[in-house]
Amino acid sequence: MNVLTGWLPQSNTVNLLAGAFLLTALLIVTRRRPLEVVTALRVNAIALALIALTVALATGAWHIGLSAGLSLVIKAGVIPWLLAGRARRMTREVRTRVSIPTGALLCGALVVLAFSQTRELFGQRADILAACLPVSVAVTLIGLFVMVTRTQALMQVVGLVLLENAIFLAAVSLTYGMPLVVEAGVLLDLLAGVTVLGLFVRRLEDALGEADTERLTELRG
Amino acid sequence: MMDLLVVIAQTVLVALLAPVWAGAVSVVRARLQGRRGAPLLQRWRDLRKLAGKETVWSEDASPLARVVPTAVLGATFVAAALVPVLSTAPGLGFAGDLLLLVALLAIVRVLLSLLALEAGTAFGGMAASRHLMLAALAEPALLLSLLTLAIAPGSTQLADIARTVAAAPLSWLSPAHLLAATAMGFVVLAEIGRVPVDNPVTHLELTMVHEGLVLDVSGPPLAHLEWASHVRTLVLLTLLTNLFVPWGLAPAGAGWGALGLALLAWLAKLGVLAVVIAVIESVTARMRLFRVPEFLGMAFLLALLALTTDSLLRG
Repeated sequence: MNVLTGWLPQSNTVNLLAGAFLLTALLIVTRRRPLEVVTALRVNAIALALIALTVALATGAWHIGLSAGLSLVIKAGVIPWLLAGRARRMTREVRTRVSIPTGALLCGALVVLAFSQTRELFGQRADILAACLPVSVAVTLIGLFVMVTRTQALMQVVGLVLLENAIFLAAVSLTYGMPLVVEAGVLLDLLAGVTVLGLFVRRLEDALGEADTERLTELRG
Repeated sequence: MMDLLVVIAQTVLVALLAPVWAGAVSVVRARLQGRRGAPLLQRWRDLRKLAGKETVWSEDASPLARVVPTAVLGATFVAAALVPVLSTAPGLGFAGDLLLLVALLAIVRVLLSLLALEAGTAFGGMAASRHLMLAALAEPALLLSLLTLAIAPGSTQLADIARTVAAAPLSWLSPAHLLAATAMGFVVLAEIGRVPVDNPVTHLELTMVHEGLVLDVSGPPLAHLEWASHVRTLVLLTLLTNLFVPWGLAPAGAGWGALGLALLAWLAKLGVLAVVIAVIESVTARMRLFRVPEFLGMAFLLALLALTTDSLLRG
């Protein structure tokens, strides 16, 4: 155990995982098949849980380890499972308001913005989570971008979960984790939210054939 | 002196092993599909068969066509000599750096496209235009991802880069390393002309890229071109593994023991890549040609992000 905790802060497991976290967020923006997007979200959550686990091992804070385990079960297990069930039924590709290449470029700009501005705001840090904060800000922006530009309800839920993952990462990298009650509350919220949204998407699909929010703009008396 | 010998030996090794690696990928793929597949040395047998055949040139072909196959093979061998395979000895470092390597690969592309136009057939022209389109998209991404690695050592020498990454503690790695490695992986996947981008076994005129280029070449010149394309694949894969995952590489002036270990590490990495590429080829369909710019654009974006985030994090 001591060997492990001695090795972890020096190694940059955290940095590589933060890279994986950013990479999967970018994949969510650029992939066209709904099921691939959900898989990228699952990998994103796994990277997040592993970062939290590494921090827990390095600091010895058991509550971070517990919330890492919880997010592994909920964010990498239950939520992607629920979303994949719906994504499998989607026959069409992801539909967007801006084209996929333009979206990828805009997200690239968001990442650069996040990295430069985080440095302005928080200065240069030297601890093991130095790379996590800009990554988390970048992925927050990407999550928002996904929510704004996707027209299918399911993909907007993916954006929401991505956003939440990034906020969790920001919390871990700024304060080494919020109290367990807060984490558990947020996770429960998210799970309930995604379940309700899943039911909502299902009703939309029953009513409209495909849950496209663009078709919700007209009122019918 | 020893270093020079090592560089010569590793270049010869790359040249000899390249067709074997291509054979290994098809063996793995055949096994995945439940076939026994052609033997490991099949590509060498193909090359020997071609070398014994008669050459037929198109009557429209200029003398340039006769020079190109040999020039392509030569440029590819020089590119192979620049890459650190077993040892980080500078080798041909006096001659050039990663820019020279990229330029040599570009020369090969231009020569191949000219050769495809020589015979005066429509297929050659189509293949040449596709080939150059891919080149224009893949090259910037390749250069940017290599330059990301060049920031830390402050040098564009491939040997210096490999040495710095191998000697650095793991904490030296940043998210940029993973982004650049992914970008380079995408580029290599596109450049080696395998399934997601090109299909090496197709002869359907509307889809082929590499096959279209060499359609009008026969006999020993075709053997030269095929050998060069195998070597080029192995050079790119070695570049990918030995710059991004350089652990196991022997330092300059190392003894036989370290070199032997480096050889084992290199072969192991190539084995892993052969399996990965065979799996990718088996489970994915070939992309539509108009999706390829998007794929390579993604690679370019990742490489650009790697470069900017790396410089921002390093300050």
